[in-house]
Amino acid sequence: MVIPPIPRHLAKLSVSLLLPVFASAQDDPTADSTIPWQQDLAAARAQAAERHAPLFVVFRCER
Amino acid sequence: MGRESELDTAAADYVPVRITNLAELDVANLRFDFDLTFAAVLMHADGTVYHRYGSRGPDAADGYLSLSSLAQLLRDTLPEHREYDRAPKPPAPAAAQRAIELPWLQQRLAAGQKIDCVHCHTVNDAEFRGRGERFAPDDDDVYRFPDPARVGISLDREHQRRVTAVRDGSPAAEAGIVAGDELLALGAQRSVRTLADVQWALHHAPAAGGALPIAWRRDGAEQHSVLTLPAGWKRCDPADFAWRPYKWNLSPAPGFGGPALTAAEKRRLGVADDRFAFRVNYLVDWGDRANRGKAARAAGLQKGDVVVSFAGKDDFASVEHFHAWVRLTRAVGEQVELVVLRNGERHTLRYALPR
Repeated sequence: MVIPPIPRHLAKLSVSLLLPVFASAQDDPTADSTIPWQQDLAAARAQAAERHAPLFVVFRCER
Repeated sequence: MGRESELDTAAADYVPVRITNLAELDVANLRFDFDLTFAAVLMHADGTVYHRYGSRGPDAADGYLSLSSLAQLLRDTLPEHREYDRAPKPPAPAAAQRAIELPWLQQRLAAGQKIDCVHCHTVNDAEFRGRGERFAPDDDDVYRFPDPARVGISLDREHQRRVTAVRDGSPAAEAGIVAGDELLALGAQRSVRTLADVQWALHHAPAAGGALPIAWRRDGAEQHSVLTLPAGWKRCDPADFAWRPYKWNLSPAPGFGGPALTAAEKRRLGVADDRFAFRVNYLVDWGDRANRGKAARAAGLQKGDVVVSFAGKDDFASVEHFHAWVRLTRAVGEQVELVVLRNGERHTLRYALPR
């Protein structure tokens, strides 16, 4: 199945439709922390296994 | 201790990871409610998830998010981790699936589209779309991560395992749970500490109904019973579903949409303040879902029309509610009537709802 590129007006529409959802998600409890976040989950898992430490994985949409 | 440092301190014994792009995530083996804009997972390096955190309530996106409840969860989970780590029993992994390799995203890339970031909700889109246009989702597909209200439970926003209210006649009431009880385990979730844990357990309980084991603590004593779930228990009011981005993948669809009228616009057009109306500013006429807009256009709908009634209903809470209501309560092919205002005149249009 060939999917045509998303037209510009659809991109605008997607943003407008989703904006209320994302705009209403005000709080990120970790936003003001100074936690030294890593970004590579695989590397973090290896490190956690070595240290016998648990992982604290945060997923945050930053669109 | 300042509030900012509370979380820093609680997270000190963890390996912290922050992911803002799901492209490389193995979504077959690390799953959570992908509609959320903030989620946290506490897990062992072997893939065992202890707890999930980050649910939103139907009334507010951040209703169950707080620094203090997250910090408390981190503190409470450490002993669980230490006990598990003494004798790990890793889950049998599913075949790995990187999000970016989901077929629908690969098709978009092959078509020349640029995907800078795979957002969490995009995974839901890809999984729905990847099952084809004829895919007819059942209740387990549609009503994901049910709110515990579906089984009659309300939970405290801070101490999220604590029951604050139980609805009379509900499965929770029949199981003997009362306000003040602290949930300990539910179905597949062996340790419950958060609203998201409860939703995870409910998500994996079949919509067809059945018995779901539940354990709770009251006055220091652990109690056990089962939630007896009737068929269709996952269904909910479309208003409680309206915020979910994956609703756009469900059918039928009206095939058009637009912004709600302001109070001033309603007064100018003679629409009562307490009635819902919105102005059509698009008809879906692109991509492989162009059929959606064509049906409404063929019925005579035009951009700029003001919809004041749809299938006899004019009390939607929002445009999102309208779209959720159509998808959850109507059927593909069902004939509906809509009333629109155009140049000061009312027009009644009829069409069959498209897939």
